[in-house]
Amino acid sequence: MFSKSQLLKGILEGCILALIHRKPAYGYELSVLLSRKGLGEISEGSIYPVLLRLQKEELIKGKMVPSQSGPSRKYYELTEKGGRALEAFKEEWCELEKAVTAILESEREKAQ
Amino acid sequence: MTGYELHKQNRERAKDLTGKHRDFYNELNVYINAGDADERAAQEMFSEILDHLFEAQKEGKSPQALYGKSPKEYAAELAAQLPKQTMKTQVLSFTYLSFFAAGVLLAFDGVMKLFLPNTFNTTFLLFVPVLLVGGFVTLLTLRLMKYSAFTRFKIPWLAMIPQAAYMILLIWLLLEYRDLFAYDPPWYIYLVTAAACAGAGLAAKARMPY
Repeated sequence: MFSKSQLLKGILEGCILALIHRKPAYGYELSVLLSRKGLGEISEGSIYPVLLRLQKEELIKGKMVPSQSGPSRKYYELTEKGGRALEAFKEEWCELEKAVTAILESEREKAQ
Repeated sequence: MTGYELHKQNRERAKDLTGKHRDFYNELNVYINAGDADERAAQEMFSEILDHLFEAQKEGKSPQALYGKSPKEYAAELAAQLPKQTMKTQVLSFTYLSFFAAGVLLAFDGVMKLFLPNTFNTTFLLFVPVLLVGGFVTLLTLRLMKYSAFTRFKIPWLAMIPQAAYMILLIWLLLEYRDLFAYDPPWYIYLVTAAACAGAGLAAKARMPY
């Protein structure tokens, strides 16, 4: 059985892949997007080890982009392998969500 | 942008951090830089951490929002995910440091011998143990620095331990093998050997990927 934090890590990885898929983004931007979408509970800094791991697994790749106003920033985009991982995550998540919802609903019916 | 330019940019930006944010960033630097992470990847990560710390500082949030429960555990988590330096880079930086240390020693001795020949008693062959042990001492110092990060030990104190042991070793060698180290060539031999060491060190540095 996995711990809550392990479960969250997997979900966080999937969500980061999904956000980057929509639009290349930089680290802090991703952390803001995640908390705006309701995942602010997860400690903010936890996205940086995840970003490093995703790069190591070649699911995303980062590029330093110079900016006119400030320092260069590292923007991430999905690799082909990352695209496939995102599809797999979506499928797994749908199945998990369906299963959990079904269980919770049957519990509620029983209670009534 | 090269790893070095990024390093410089990060160092400049970090000057605007204050208080706890600055402390956390500095300790994280010590921890990561003393490890075997790839320099370029580490600097890219530092630039992201800096972004985050600046925003936290602006919003009046503690850096704890970034690292969670334990700063040292967080640093270890980052270090574990960073790509490692290749063996080649490690050997090259080791060679660079050793030759650099030996070169500095010889150049200093040579200059002293040239200008103050009677007051300064040098030992030419000392550069051999410096070459052999200097790199190890540096690695040991780095290892200690890593463990001192996020503790109440401040770096210079802990780093002194291997350096002091190193000095004691050199002095012991000098006393024990006095005859061997008695060899004393003219000043220009010192400078030529120093230049050769510097050349070897620079050649190693030039082959490093950043």
